[in-house]
Amino acid sequence: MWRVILERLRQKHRTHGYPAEAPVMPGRFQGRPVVDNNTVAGAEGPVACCPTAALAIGPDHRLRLDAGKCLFCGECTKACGQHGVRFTQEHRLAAARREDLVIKGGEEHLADALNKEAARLFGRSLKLRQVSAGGCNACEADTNVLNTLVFDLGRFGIQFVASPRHADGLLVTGPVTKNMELALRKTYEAVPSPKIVIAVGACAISGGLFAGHDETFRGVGDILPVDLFIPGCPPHPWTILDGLLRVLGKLR
Amino acid sequence: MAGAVELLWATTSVMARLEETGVVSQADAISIGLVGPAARACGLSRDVRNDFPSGIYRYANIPPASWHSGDVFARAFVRWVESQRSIAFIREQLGTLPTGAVAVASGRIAPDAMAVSLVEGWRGEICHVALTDSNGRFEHYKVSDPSFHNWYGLALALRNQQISDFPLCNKSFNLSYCGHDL
Repeated sequence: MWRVILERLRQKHRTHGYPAEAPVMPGRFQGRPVVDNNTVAGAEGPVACCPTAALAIGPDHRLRLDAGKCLFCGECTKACGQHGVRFTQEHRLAAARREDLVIKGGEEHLADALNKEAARLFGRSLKLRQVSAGGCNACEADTNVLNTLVFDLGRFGIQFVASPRHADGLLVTGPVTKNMELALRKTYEAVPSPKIVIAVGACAISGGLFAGHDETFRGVGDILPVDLFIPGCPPHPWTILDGLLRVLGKLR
Repeated sequence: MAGAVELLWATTSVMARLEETGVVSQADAISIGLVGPAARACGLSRDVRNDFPSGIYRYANIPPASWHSGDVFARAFVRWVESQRSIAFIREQLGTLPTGAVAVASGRIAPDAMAVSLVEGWRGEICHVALTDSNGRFEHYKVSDPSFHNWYGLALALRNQQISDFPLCNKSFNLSYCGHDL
């Protein structure tokens, strides 16, 4: 028993003061991209080097970046030398509507709270079933780490459960492989209504690197209605937590 | 973290729960072809980094960590020893990093070829097989995940066990559904 007490004293309190305290992102973190409003000359280089065609020139002849496709690899910033696209340290990226993930010059859309009824039902207790539908384990690892004592997801009333029957919604990762389609549909049907679906990561949002492949879909949206999109490859745990709290109306 | 894990091994109530739960015999592990930490927890020294060394593992090796008992404790303990050896290996290699580019462009893919790649992932052996056609385009590509090999190991570990041991055995194998269904 003394050993347990001594070890507890040695470990100290590790839980972060979020959301009252802002998270400190590592120096190499590539957060929310910013697209210049007026640059199009010379944009062909950065557009051509984007591995997922996230960066494009819109009908208004301005650059736009689809954060739902972006791998945050930074190839475009290398190609354009910081003019046109650059990545900030901003970790808040989640959006409730797919079109809000498309970043045009200087605009910003963060996920709003769900409707009042959903906030009343899930705001104090949200149980999620995680489905990895062909994910590479990166999004799964960054979601799983929210259960550790640094993030302590339980204090926000959010918990991952072992059965869809116990869940209020699904948190899906991966592009949805054809082999996981039936499992994903069955899991969704097993969740009692009303329910929400959260897509985490570029693959789950748009198919990511695998978009257009014969054996995968272009993300969860092809199969199920999605209520929250959390971009990243993988998203940082703070990005995922921000999205979950925002959709529950716990952050404004 | 080390203090917390050492506490795990020193706490009798934890050890009583882990030891002799979900045992897979070495003979069964060989006959069903277990891979990764699950195989090494049955006393096998099976590790792609040692058995088929490529890249950095041709010059530097990490001694495979194994334990003989084949139970939940063995699978947990092997992971702990591996974590320590991996951290030591990374620290050692970081001290002697070679110079040069981080990424290089891949060349043209060879036509009419078959390539097999084996990598030791954290769950065990990951195998990629690619077949190309006469134009150097992929004709077929198959990935097999360690979960594909180890699922039957979980089934064997649960034979004659109580239902309350299921979560413990399940997490000790830590299998991936979508990896199995690739």
